[in-house]
Amino acid sequence: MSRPLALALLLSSACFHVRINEKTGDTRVQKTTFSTPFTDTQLDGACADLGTGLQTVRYSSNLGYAWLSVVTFGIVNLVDVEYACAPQTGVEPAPRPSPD
Amino acid sequence: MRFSAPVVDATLTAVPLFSALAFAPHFAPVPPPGPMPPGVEVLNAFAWSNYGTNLSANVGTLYRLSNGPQNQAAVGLDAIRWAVRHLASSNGSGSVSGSRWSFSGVALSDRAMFDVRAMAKRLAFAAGDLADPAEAASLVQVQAGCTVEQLIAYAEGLGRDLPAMGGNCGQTVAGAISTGTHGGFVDRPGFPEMVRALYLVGEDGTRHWLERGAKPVLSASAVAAYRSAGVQVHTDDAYFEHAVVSLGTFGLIYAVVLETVPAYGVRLDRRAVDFDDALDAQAFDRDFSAYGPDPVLDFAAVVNPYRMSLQGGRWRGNGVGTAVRTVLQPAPLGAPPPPGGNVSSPINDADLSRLLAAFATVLPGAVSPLVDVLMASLYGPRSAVGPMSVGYPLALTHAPTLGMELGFPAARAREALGVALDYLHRAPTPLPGVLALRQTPQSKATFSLARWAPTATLEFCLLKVPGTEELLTGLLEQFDRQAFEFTVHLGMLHGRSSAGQAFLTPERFARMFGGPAVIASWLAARRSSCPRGTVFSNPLTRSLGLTS
Repeated sequence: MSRPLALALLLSSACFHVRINEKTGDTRVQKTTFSTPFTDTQLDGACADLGTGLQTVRYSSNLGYAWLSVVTFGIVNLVDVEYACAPQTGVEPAPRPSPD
Repeated sequence: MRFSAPVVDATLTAVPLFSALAFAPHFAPVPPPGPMPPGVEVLNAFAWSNYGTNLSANVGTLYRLSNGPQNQAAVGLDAIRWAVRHLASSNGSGSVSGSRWSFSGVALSDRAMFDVRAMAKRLAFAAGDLADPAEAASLVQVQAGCTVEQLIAYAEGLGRDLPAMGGNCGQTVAGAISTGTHGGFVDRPGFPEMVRALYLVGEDGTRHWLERGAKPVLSASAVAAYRSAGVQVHTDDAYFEHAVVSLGTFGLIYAVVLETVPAYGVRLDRRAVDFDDALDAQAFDRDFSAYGPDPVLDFAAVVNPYRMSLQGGRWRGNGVGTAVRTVLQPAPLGAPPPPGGNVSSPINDADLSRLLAAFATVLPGAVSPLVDVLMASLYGPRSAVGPMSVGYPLALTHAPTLGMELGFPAARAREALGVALDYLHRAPTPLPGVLALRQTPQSKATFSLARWAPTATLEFCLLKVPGTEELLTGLLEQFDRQAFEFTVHLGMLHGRSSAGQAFLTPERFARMFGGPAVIASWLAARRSSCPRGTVFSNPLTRSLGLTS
């Protein structure tokens, strides 16, 4: 009985999340980013097709990523990044329908 | 309530000797649409899953629809029409995906999906377009992808509020309506009754405006303008009630018009209590005398089933913490917050629920005590005063979850809870979650769970642990064996055995929602916007005999 308990504790430990402006249950883009002290990760043009900003931005790491960073002396840094795009909001007059 | 197709083909009476086969419906193929317009993104082999993560599919074609880079509502409508025609021209079928909030397969299709979440604008009526120009201040029209949270923000920005609410505000408006979402408001029905009009795109790309004839939205001149533009305007009340909760099968909803009321303030109080005689009377008899002269607007009781026991023939709790009750009462707008400010439970369920689900999976014996922890996590004490929206903050859980909700005639609700608790206490595996008790007024919508006046609801809020759906299915069968009259919330689980056999057969579905004549009437109504019946169709609707 203690082994599954220990396993559950192990699996759920050392995994943390940072959640920013969380509005939805799911995200549109999910990727693992790779950064070094010499190469930053940049995610540009996100949501450009909608012309909106980001929401539900999640940043996650775990024990494996932490160890990888330690054993490579901070050179290899992995982070899971997820985000959604904010919906297109605003107000406009309800247009009369255009003919087919 | 029976709907008859309003247009009768005169040839049917002129040549009665023709065989039925001669009249087998033949539809001209939908021609391929022109070039893909702005606002459409077509993705192939899209990995889709719902929020609870109990459903997933590799969707053949996902139409991701928006108002285009300039955020123009007309672009959004054109995008929807193009996508529907594109799917129809290839004889495809698909479903509509909103916030992916549903635990049932209402949005699930591995063939095609329309994702309209990006479209969330408010479309303001000109007073001259309304049957009652004074309603320009009270009717709020939003695009289908607008979340309930955003809808409330729009309404409050106009000095208005929704008359009632569901349990959460993360759903899209169209999704909440299409599945018959309701809450626990006293004498104020749920979303289907708030809807005054639907603007949707039928399976061949034709636009349809639906409103109740008894309470029209558009003025006569606007109706004439819509019709001359090729929009089919439906004003039949029975037709509207068939369409409003229709699991996305009447067409792809582009916009929804909802009724609002003047903005009001609320005082919310949620706290742990015992399930004693007083709570029993509140939950089942709506005896709110304990809350003073102010009326109770919304009431819910959440119960830990494992702290309930039969005491003198009645199910009662074993002390404070057995249940959590939430009461919402009116407060003056601008009233000061409670002492200490608006406070919520400090416990964040972020990863706790996931941890609890892991424990429940590997240690079924630990479920019972863990439900206490879950209750404290998801339903911790909360006290708030402010505009209506403070009562309904967006609440996201961060673990795989499941939910099922049943509706009963309120007069039998106490008995139904007893059956459920008795079943759960005898079940070979524990239920990893809690029960929520509410009541809601009757709805006229054909497929609403709220069929009785009033309807009592029993909602199961659960962690996703293997075997849970099968356990719930056993409960449904138990209610069936005891000849209980009940309905299911179509946006939530409705039973599946371990062999994959769905509890909700077409016969059971028809029995729940009024009988074969009602289903036939519903099918006739749907043919107005979807004569082929195949485009807005998915495994769930096909299994219920609603679509082809």
